This record gives sequence, structure tokens and C-alpha cells, in this order.
Amino acid sequence: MLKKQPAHVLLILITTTLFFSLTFSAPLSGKAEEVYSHSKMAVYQIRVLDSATKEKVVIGSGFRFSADGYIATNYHVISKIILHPNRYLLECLHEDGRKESLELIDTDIVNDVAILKSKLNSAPYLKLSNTTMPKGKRIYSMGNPRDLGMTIVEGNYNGLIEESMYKRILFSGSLNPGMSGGPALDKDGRVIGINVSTYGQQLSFFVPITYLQILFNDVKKRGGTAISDWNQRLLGQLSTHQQQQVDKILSKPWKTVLIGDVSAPGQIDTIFKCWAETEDKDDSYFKRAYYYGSSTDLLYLDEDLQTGKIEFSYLWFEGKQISSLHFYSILSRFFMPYKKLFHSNKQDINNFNTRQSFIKINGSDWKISFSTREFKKFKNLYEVYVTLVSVSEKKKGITIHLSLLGITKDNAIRFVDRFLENISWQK
Amino acid sequence: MAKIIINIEDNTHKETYSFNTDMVSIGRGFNNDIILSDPYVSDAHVQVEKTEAGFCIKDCNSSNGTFIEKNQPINISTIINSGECFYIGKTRIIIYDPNHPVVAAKHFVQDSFFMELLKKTNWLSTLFFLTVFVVLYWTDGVIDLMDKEPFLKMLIPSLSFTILIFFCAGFWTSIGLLVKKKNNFHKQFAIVSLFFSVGLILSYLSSYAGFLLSSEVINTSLLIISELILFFIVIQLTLRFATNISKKVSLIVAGSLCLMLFLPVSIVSAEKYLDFNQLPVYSSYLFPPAVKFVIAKTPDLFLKDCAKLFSN
Repeated sequence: MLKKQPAHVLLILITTTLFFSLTFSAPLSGKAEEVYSHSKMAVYQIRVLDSATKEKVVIGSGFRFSADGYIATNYHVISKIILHPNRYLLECLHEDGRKESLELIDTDIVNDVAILKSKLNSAPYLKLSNTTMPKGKRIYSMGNPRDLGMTIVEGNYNGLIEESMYKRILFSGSLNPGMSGGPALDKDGRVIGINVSTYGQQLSFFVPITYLQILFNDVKKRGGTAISDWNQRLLGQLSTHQQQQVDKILSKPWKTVLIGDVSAPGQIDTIFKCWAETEDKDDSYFKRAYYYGSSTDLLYLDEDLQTGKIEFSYLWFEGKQISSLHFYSILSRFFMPYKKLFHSNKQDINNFNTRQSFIKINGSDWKISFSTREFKKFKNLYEVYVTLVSVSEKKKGITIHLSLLGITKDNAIRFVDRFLENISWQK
Repeated sequence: MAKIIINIEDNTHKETYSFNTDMVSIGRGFNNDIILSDPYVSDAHVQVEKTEAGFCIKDCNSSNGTFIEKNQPINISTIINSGECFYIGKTRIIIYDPNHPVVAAKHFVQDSFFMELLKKTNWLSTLFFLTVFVVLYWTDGVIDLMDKEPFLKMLIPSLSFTILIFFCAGFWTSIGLLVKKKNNFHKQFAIVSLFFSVGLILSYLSSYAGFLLSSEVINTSLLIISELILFFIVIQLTLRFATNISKKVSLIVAGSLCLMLFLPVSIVSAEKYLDFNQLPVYSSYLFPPAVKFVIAKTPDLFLKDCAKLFSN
């Protein structure tokens, strides 16, 4: 399993990778064979089985990293076991075809790491690396893509992605579904990261191995016992994460951006990626400008449930030869809730509660709607959705959409308060 | 010169007869002076005789009796004065002396100002209502457009609604032709086109109320209530012009139709609040800044209020 990768893109990915490796690829180091044969016995296919039919529901990869039987994989490979414990079973498939059931010990939902335990006492395991390496080094990723058997992929190390809240190693090589949770190895066969996601051709990511070490230290401190209250464990991690995220964002003054005549929060932190575009078509009744900012990462909870994202968008309109009634009728369309943001279903989340009012921000009139809904499993974590529209000018206006996913009440109010402070008309 | 004037009224029509004789017989049989088709009236039901004392009503041993007051049949005969009435079967009969003072020119049932106006409709009024309707729906279509479109293309939405009102007016006119044998096209057109025009204005007014009061619930409930009241008025008007049913019956029919519609419409509208909804529900209609009816809150005050939305 690999996150968010449509099948057709993967096929293109596979074929182009083949094409490139046959023709233009950089000369291979020749180390792959050595790394593979050294590591193959410690890398497994991790399978989540339906408890009724004993058939595979999710497949991923994992590797043994300690003499006493601990195995690492991704949270997103085994998430079903945590969220629906009675419906699924966990097992692994060794390179030689042996199967073995596993116990889930602990997980770090924010960094997408999970630790499992095997009952086999003597089995080969991989050593973790503590050294840093320069960009461009050849590294290797192992896993079982699409249930085709254990494979090794060679590529380049491209350093840490610093702009993200959760650090990732950028790997210029192709990861495919099923490789999630497999090890990323240096030339000596030591683990530097865990396969986690891909973003298109030759653009893949690993979780740095330090997160596995931190989680493993937690496990050892407890004496190696499994977590009993998974909801509490995940809730604790999600709450701490959003607290750190909001504290970091609110600790500095915010950069603003001018869109039309309105100044509003811009790239408020390095973890935000921002985009903008203006449009002035001849046959249109208005000129418009668009600005979009979003925190780069989304926390994966379950197949249809993601959280951790902060996102805002602005749409500026300036009417051309139209009546004020016509202008506001068009603006209404963009004040409506924006459908694409929401994917949740009623098993996971409650209905929205909404407050709406006219407010005065820095001397101008606005209409605001504030909506929030609570996660069912993760009490005290909310999705907050704020829309604003200016209602002071006759033929000029802006709609603002802000969404905060997986946030506590206090942080939501703090964030929105700061957000509103940074909005003003510039005339 | 007439000696007795008799006024006959039932559910569907009323008629006045005058007689030169002192005695008039009323019943369902052909040898009566006034022949009634009322099935509750006997062949020879009642006789009215002009006497010195007044009009003598003689029941001719009818099956269902003759009544001055409801539930009190008369014994063989009784005397009534000019202008008084009695009942046989489902029919009311009023007896007048020719010298009975004439009532000041006033209709038996006073029609409302609106009904009077409707009676004056002709092809000019139809043209007027059509123009008002097309302009309203054209404006409604245009203010929703993002891009400039050719004029004719902008007319398409209002044209489809025009076809609809011609269809509705035509439908009720044909009912009228069948039931009343009378062509009421201009009246029906006025009623139907006013229904759609006023309905559109009402929908704008309810969204404006929703906008000002920042409440989607107010918008939806105002819309449902106002449109249903309008629908009620229109149904009973069209019924009265197209059929012979009385005002009372038309009110009952229109009222029951509205009640029947009210339930499903409210349930469908309430669904977005009751069922799981991916999207928040709020009033998103916007109107240009005009008179300030509502005082804007400060962000702090608003957020303090929002804090109550969270469950802890």
C-alpha cells in the first residue's frame, strides 16, 4: 500500500521507470545485489487480513530491526487494525514463504510509523543508521510492490524536506503501492528511513529513521508491552501535534498578501505553500484574483479520513459594467461552503454547528460564518471551517475560506482571532 | 302584476320567479309551478299561498318536510312574512311581496377588490402580466450569469417559464370550458403569471431576510410559508373561476392541498439539519450594502459566541 496514488499514474510510473532505466539512467552502483541479499531475510510483506474470510485487505512491507523481534512498518499500512480491531488480523510473509501472525505494539500517527512484534526469537534483522549523508548518495529501497514479490529499488538521497511539519527524506527513485513500510538502506545495508509515499515520477519519500528510534525508546521504557487504549494514544499524538503546529505558527508575526484592495494573511509559516492567479476575461462580468495557501502535509487517519491540515483561499472580485445586485449574486456563489474540502463520513465525524453574523474587522463590514464539527473517535479534536465575505463595497469584494482540520477548541479560536486581525481593506 | 316573487337558491345557482297567482306549488313533479331537481324534494312538496296575514306555507305531506328553522319541520302550515325564507331538501326558498322594499344596490356576496380587478382582465392585461413576468425572470436569470451571453440566450430561462405559465393557464381554462362552458383564459393567465412573479419576489425577500438576520432557518421557513400562502390563494382562485364550487369548498380544497404539501416540503428542507451533512449549513445569499439594519459585532464578541459551538 502506498498513499494516494491512482492506478493509472502508477502504471505510467512503472513503464517510464523501466524506460529510463533501460536508456538514460545513471550507471548503477552494482551494490543493489549485495544490499538485497544481505537484507532480504529481514524484510517482510505485512498483510492485514479480513478476520472472516482470512483474505488480504491491505498489503505493505516491513522489516525486523531488533534481535528481540520488533518489526517496523507504516501506520497507514496497519491503520485498520487500530481503528477496527475486531474486523482484521495482522500477519507477515517471509521471503521464503513462511507466514506468521504479528502483534501490534505501538504507533506514531504523525510520522506514520508503527512497531509490530514477531514471536520468532532468532531471525536476521537490519541495523539502524545514525549517520547523516550528503545529497546524491546512492540509496536503496526494499519492499513488495503490488504483491509481486520482494524487490529492491535504487535511487538517490536528496536530503530532508525542511518546510514540512513532519520531516521526510526525499528519494529520487520509484516507490510503488505495497512498498510502504519497507526499509530505505544505505550501501552497507543499514536502515536510514522507512518507505512512506510517492508524489509522481521518481519523487518518493521516506520517514527518517530517528522517528522509529524515538518510538522504540518509548516502547522499551514501557517494557515492550502493547498499547491498550489506542484511541487515547492516537488522540494524544494528534493533540500534541496540533498544539506544536499552532504554537509555531502563532509565535511569529504573520506575512500578509495584498489581493485586490484587501490585505490578508499570506505565507504565514514555512510549512505553507501558496499559489496565486489573476483572471480578466473580456466576456466576463468581473475581474478576479485567486490566492491559495495550505500547510504541506495531511495526516492520514484512515482511508477516508485525513486531518492536520490548515488551508485558506481568497477570491477577489471586481465587477465590470454590472449592477450591484448582480455583483453580489455572483459573490454569493463563492461564499457557499466549498465542497472539495470535505471527504468525511458519518461514522467518523459529527454534523457541523454553525454561527453566522455581520462583523466589523478593522473598520469594514464583513459577513462571517464559523462552523465546527467534532471527530467521533477523537474527542476534543474538531474540524473548523470559517468563511468570510466583505459586504462594504458595491462592486468589489472578496470571499475568504479557512479550514483547520484536527484542532482543539482553544487553538481554533486563537488561530481564527489572529487570522481576522490580519485582514484589512487598503484604500 | 306579480303577486308572489319566489327566490330559489341551492349550492350551485340561484333563480327568481314571479307569479300572478295567489297560490304557487313547488316540488320535483312536472305539474308544479316551480320544478326543482333537488333529490330531497318530494313530487308535490309545498304550496305557498298569499293570504291577508302573510304567506302561508303548506307542506303537502312531503317525505323530508319543510323547515323554517333547521331541524324544526313545520306542522302542515305556517305563516311567514315577505323577505323571510324556508327550506325544502337542500334548497332555500325566499318569498317576497312585490311591494317588498328593494335592497340598496349591493351584491348578495360582495366580491373583493382583487376579484373585481380579475373580472376586468382582457388581452391587454394578459400582455401586461406577461411582460412583467418575462422581465422579472429575465432579470433573475441575468443576475446569476458569470459571463456575458448573447441577449437571446439570456431569454431562454424566462422563455421556458413562459411556456409553463401558458400551460398552467391553458389547463385551468380548459377545465373552465368543460365545467362552466365559459372561457376564462385572461383571468387564469393573470392568476398564474402573478403566482410565478410574486413567488419569485417572495423568494428574494426571504433570502434577504436570511441575509440580514444571518439565518438559513429564517430564510427557508419564510420561503416555505410565504410560497404556500401564495399557492393557497392561487389554487382557490383558479378553482373558483374554473368550476362551480362554492367559496367555502374552494377554501377547503386549497387549504388541504397546502397542508399536504407543507409536510413533505418541510421534511425535505429540514433534512439538511437532521441528517449527516458533509457541508455546514448557513445562509450564503448576499445582497448589496444598503440600509444598515443589523449592527456588526466585533470579532472578539463573535468568537466568544463561537466558543459555545464546541462541545466542551
